[in-house]
Amino acid sequence: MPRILLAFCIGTCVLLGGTGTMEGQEQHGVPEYDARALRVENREGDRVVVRGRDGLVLGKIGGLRGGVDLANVVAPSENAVREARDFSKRARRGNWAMTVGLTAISVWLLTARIHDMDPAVATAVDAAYAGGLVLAVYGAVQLNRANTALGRSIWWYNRDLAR
Amino acid sequence: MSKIFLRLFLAGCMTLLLPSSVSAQSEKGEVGRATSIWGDAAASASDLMKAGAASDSSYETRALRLESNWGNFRIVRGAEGLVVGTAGVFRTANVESIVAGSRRAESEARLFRANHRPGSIAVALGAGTFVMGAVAATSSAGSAATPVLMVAGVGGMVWGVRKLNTAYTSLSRAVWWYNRDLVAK
Repeated sequence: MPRILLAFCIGTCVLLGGTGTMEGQEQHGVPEYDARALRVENREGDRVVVRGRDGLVLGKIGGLRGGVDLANVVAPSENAVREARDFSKRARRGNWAMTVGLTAISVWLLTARIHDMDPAVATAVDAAYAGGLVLAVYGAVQLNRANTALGRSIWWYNRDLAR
Repeated sequence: MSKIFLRLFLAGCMTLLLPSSVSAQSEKGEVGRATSIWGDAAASASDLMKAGAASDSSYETRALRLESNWGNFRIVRGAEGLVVGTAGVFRTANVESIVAGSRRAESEARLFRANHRPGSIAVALGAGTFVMGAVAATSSAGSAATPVLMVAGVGGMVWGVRKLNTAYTSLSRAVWWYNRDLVAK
């Protein structure tokens, strides 16, 4: 009788063990995702790339100096690297265009109250304003596309972790 | 020894014959009950073998991400990029319903909502106050209220932006947890 019970128990365990995961049990990809999946957070005014459940900060995003090398961070994932390169290219362009454009507009605003300005200088300042406006709009478009590429890059990287 | 194998075999058969219930996660994240019967055993075994591939496609079709849209965020689902909601300063989707099914994502979505609304209101009021101060500064020279209005406006905007930053961090975490729980399923 004990043998029958033992055999029954072993048989049941073998069958249950082969029928997949039980409630609450995590599959192989989860520890990997928990440890390495990326996201973007705002920390003290900066946008940073954060890794894993514990929120390890890998570096700032954007700025004139470029911030963290995103392509390097997402390196194993082909699609993520492509989007990361697109992000870096557009973010650099966008930041420079926006900075130069806003500087030109600021100069125009600061000189707007000077009435006895030389006509040639006034023309140059007006041209700088027009150019600055164009650059600011171009920069905004580039930054918008850069941020979309950033979201996609992280999505692809995390997707490849989950596989 | 052969008796033991026979009993093992019998025990296995009995277990399969018993109607067993399994918990199944529905599309909306609600736990439903599905009954497994003898006839479904072979099919369910085949389904389990495909489980790895299914979780891949589940992530590919259901995982969320945030994309920029002129100062707002679009919440986008899957590789095809279906827009399921937007989150901006003045209008935002119900993130809790989008990430429903993941407890921690829902918790972060609630934090997002709690910070987003006061942040948006503070930015709007701060900008309005600043513009009023700026207009007063140009129209009535020497008014003592104008610098106060402008400083209060800037203060409101700064506080609001801080709240919005906290809200967007919660939104990013909500998406992260939601996708993580897709992997776990």
